[in-house]
Amino acid sequence: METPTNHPSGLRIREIATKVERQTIDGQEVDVVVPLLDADGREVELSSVVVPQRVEAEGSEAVEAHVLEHLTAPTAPDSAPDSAENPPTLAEGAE
Amino acid sequence: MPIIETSKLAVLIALLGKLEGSYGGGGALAAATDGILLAELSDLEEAFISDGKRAAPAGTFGTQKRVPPQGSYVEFTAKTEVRGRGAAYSASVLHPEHVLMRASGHDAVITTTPGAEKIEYTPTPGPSGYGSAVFGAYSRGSLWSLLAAYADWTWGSDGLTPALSEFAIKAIFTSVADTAVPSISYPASTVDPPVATNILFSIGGVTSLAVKKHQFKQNRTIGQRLNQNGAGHNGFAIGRRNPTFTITIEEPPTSTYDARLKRRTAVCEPLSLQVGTVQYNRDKLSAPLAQLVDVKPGTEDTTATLDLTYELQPSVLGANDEYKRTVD
Repeated sequence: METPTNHPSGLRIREIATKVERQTIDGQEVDVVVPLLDADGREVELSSVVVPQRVEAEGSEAVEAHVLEHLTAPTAPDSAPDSAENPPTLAEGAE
Repeated sequence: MPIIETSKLAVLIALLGKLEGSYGGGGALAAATDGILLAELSDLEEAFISDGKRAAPAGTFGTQKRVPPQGSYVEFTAKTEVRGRGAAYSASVLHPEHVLMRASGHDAVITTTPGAEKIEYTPTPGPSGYGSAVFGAYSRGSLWSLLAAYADWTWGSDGLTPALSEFAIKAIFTSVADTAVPSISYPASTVDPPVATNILFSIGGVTSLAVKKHQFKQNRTIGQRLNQNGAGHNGFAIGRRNPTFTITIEEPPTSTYDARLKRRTAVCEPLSLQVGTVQYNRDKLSAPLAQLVDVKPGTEDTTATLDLTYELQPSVLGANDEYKRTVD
């Protein structure tokens, strides 16, 4: 399990890198969005913003406004594939 | 004697709650946005740090009148059915128990990436930065106004019915008044809670154990603070936590899972249990190092069972990752 190293107390909103993976669920093959993991097995965080408790106490609309104001534009790391250009093959998730 | 047509009803309960901007700061509650859908609410009683009793007067066998009690507070328990939001989580679409989870000493990380939305709750490291809540509890025809509230969280299911979250709340009392329950809007009120079947329990990689019941307990110490230089009650202080996970299983072959050996050797193993299988209505408790500390034999009719108690340990000394609740 991921060990938070710089996790501040309170509420944090974040975006992570993901990939599309074909899975069999209830006998049907479906495309599922799964987090992309780095070499240490941790989710790759693209960007995040910490919401102060005083803003959180004002309600969800205030939180959303704070997020929109402070969230930086996501910058995809080199290891994150673009799923549209490089769709995962069945071999990537093969047993 | 005329019959009184109406009475205060014990069955109509409701809870409004929101986070405080700062500890003890209170706040204004709104029925349209702050409803917390309850499964059960314990009766509320006003308690006091000092009950006002005075010593027996000298030279008599009687008593003397008390002074007014001081330092009032309320302890009560709110239970909610474990259910998801039924919609993609975001800054404005939170879990129905979000306020209670934050008030019970959890930090929240909301992942808003499309298709992978989730909220992860982990213990707040402390010693400061704990979330606290202001509540309006409707009980027995009255509205109890409470603030500076902290909670202790318990989560689990005794059978095949939906799991329940139980929050043992301590709060400062401000007022109580006869008030009818208003029309309250609840998030996710149309989402059915998942039943406790196909719960995906795993301990040390073993996934085949037959589970009868399970319960997570945070065991968070919430202490009182007395203040002579104020109104009497200065709020609460947070002490240690000792999260545990108890589970009753059919006693398996030792080749599958040797519980007594694991207890004897103090083995730590990863543990996880998930309720629900539909996205945005899944609830998962995970712990990296669950250490078996107690094994008790039991029976279910003629079936041999084991009651196992795990202490949830952090991955490294001082980390706040001994457990995580993921709703997705």
